[in-house]
This record gives sequence, structure tokens and C-alpha cells, in this order.
Amino acid sequence: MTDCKTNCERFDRMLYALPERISLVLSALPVALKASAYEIRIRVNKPVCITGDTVFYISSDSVACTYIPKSPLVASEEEIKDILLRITDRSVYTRTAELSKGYLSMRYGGRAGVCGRFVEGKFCDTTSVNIRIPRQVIGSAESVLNEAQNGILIAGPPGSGKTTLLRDLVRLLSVSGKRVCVIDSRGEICGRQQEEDALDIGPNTDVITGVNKAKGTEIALRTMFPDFIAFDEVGTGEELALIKESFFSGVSIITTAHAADTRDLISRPVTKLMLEGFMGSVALLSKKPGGPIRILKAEEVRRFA
Amino acid sequence: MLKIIGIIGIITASTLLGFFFALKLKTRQTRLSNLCSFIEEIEMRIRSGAELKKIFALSGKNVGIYDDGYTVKISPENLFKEDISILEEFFSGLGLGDTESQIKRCQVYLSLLKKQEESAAELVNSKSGLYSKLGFFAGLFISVMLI
Repeated sequence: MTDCKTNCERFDRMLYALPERISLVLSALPVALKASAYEIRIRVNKPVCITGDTVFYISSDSVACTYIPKSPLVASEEEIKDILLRITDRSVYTRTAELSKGYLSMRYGGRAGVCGRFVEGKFCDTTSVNIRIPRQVIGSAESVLNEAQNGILIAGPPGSGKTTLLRDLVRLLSVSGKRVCVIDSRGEICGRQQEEDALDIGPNTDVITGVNKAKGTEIALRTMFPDFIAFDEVGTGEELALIKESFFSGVSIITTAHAADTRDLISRPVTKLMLEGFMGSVALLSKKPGGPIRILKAEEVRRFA
Repeated sequence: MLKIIGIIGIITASTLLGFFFALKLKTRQTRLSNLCSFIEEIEMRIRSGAELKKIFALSGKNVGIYDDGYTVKISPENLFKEDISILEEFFSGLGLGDTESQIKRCQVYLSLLKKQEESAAELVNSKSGLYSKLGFFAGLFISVMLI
């Protein structure tokens, strides 16, 4: 199912954001590691890490180790600043809204999580950057396609592949002729569709970016007449209110939520309300990406309350 | 006859050399003036939220500033070391920060560059005529010595 060559190419493409010294070392890593990597973590004066099946520390001669090597590849403070400038095309000031939320959207559907020092709500110094590499796993959502017809909540711990599964589910629904509208607030689900090698989200999919989920859902319902609306991580009461509206408009919802297990799902007010009201099913992912997917009906999950 | 041609040649060459150095001073002044306008344009575009990449693509080449998306290169032609140092400092931190800090950065470095432009203008006034005349008289002196 995994397109090794494509995922390796996606890894190489994300290196545009890195200074030449670091980029050259990472580009020389083994193909298998690049294909399975989903994060590049860079911290000031600490070894550069790649997260795949496990965490690998990278040495300055492109060797990946599960321990800190003798000559690790270490990023300086100046190189971290350079990364920010590269990601923002030398215009950090145009992305302060994103930075204040701790992330930056990248080209090719990637996302950089940014950690550092905030002063009076403004982001000042960056100490670490976590580059998430978008992965397309064609066919990964086949087992949940039937359950998704009445809406599905894709739940799992961080890094379990929720967005990857969501993306493939959108593609499958779109290919089957359904009208799908994706509210992609952070550009993480669909990437930049204008690019030649954009993520495949199907021929019948419309994407709304740059607005919050509440506004995006309103636009979708009023103008795009979708069969499905998909978005990542519903979080607020306002968003939930609009989801309810769309459900009663006959539109099915596909969304994701952080949850380690079913008890976690029930204990969160927003997901609990979704499961009590208008979500037909839950796809519970295991901690390891690509692991087994447990499909539960909403009433089964409610029993854990 | 040959001597006369030679003398004319020497005087012409040295006079042209004098004009060349005078012209370099004038060209520096013009370039600094254009660079000040470029920085003002950068400030204006930062205020409007435009990306710097577009600013460099549209206007940078006209003032000898080249941006490959990752590093800014400054053409050193007709600029003094001090001018280049100010520009390098300005571009090294450009884009890294919020809108307010970027605007302040533009204003600070613009004021420094304007001072350089003013001193360049003073040099043109005081030295360009001198270089032209020096060129002529140097040529004349060499000719006399050779005779």
C-alpha cells in the first residue's frame, strides 16, 4: 500500500526548508529511512532526529543511529533562524498568526511545529522546529469506507496517522463520485493543490483554506452542496454547533480527534457530544502508524461512559 | 610629430582617468540613492503584508540586489566597504520578526544609508572637479617629464 518511492521523494522535497549543510546530510540517508520518516526534528545545539518506526539520531556523515552518535549533526541557532526564513520565503512577518499558534504551513502539504519563547503573545526566539512530512498511503482507508457513509470520527494518539487516513478516505469518497468538501485550515490535509505533484484527494473534492472550521463549514454548506465535509480536529463549541447544523442538512462529517482509547474519547466533552448526537462510527487507530484500525459504532463507544 | 601625438595621447588618457574616478563618485551617489528608494519600497510592502520574495523579484535586480530565496547577494560595484557592510547587516535579519520590528529595521538602516548618501554627495561636490583637473595636470606633468 505504501508508495515507497513517492514517500522518499516527499522527504527530499521537504529539505527545501533546511540550510544546505543539514539538507546535504539528510539527502544522503538510506531510501528506506526516508520513505518511513514522518518527522524531522531540529533543536538548537542538539542532534537532528528523524522519527520513523523509531527515533533516529543523525550523524554528520549521514548515518542514522538509535543512540546519539559520536559526531552528531547539530543545528546552530543561526541555522534554526534560517529554517524559519526558508519556510516563510524570508517573510516571517506575514505568518505571525500561524506562529502565535506554534506552527507554520509549508510547501508540499507539510507543517512545521515551532517551539520557542513567547513575549507578550508574540513569538520571539525559536529553539526547535518539527517538520511533519505529509504521507500519502493509497488504499489505507478502504477498511473504513463503508462505515464512513453516515459520518466517522477518526481517533488516535498523536502521530498515529489520523490525517493520512482522513486524506485517503476523502480520496476514496471523491473517486466513488461523492462531493467532498475539505476545510483545510492549516493546509495539512490537501497541501497546495496548485502544485504539479500535489497530494491526491480525488477528482470530486473542493478545498477551503485560510478560514477556521466554523466559517469554512458555513461556506461549504451554502455554496458547495457537499455530500461530505471533512476537517481535522474539531475543538471548539462554535465548530461543533456548525457540525450539528451540517448534519441536520443531510451532510455527513469526517473528522479526527486526539484520543488514546475509547475512554479518552468519552471523557472529552466535544467528542462525547459528537458520539451522542451525529457520528455514526469511530475508527480507532493504534499508536504505531500503519497499525490495525478498530472500527466501532458510536453506541458501542458510549457504553464506555 | 610622433612626440606630439604621444603627448596628446598621455594627456587624454590621464584626463579620462580623472573623469573616470569622478564618475565613480557620482555613480556611487546615484546607487546609494536608488538603494534608499529600494529600502523605502521594502518598508511600504512590509506594511501592506507583501512577501519579500516578490519585492526582490520585482525591484531588486534594478539596484544590484539578488535574492535566490535563501541568501541575498549585493553587487559591490561602485560601493564602499562601509556601504556594503550596512546593507549586509540590513538584509541578514530582514524578514525575521513581526511587521512592527521589520518596519523599524527598515527605518534604522534607511537612516544609516541616507547618511552614506549625504557623504557621497559631499565627496562628489568636493572631489569630482579635483579628480578631473588632477587627471589633466598629471598627464601634462608626465608629458613634460618625458620630453
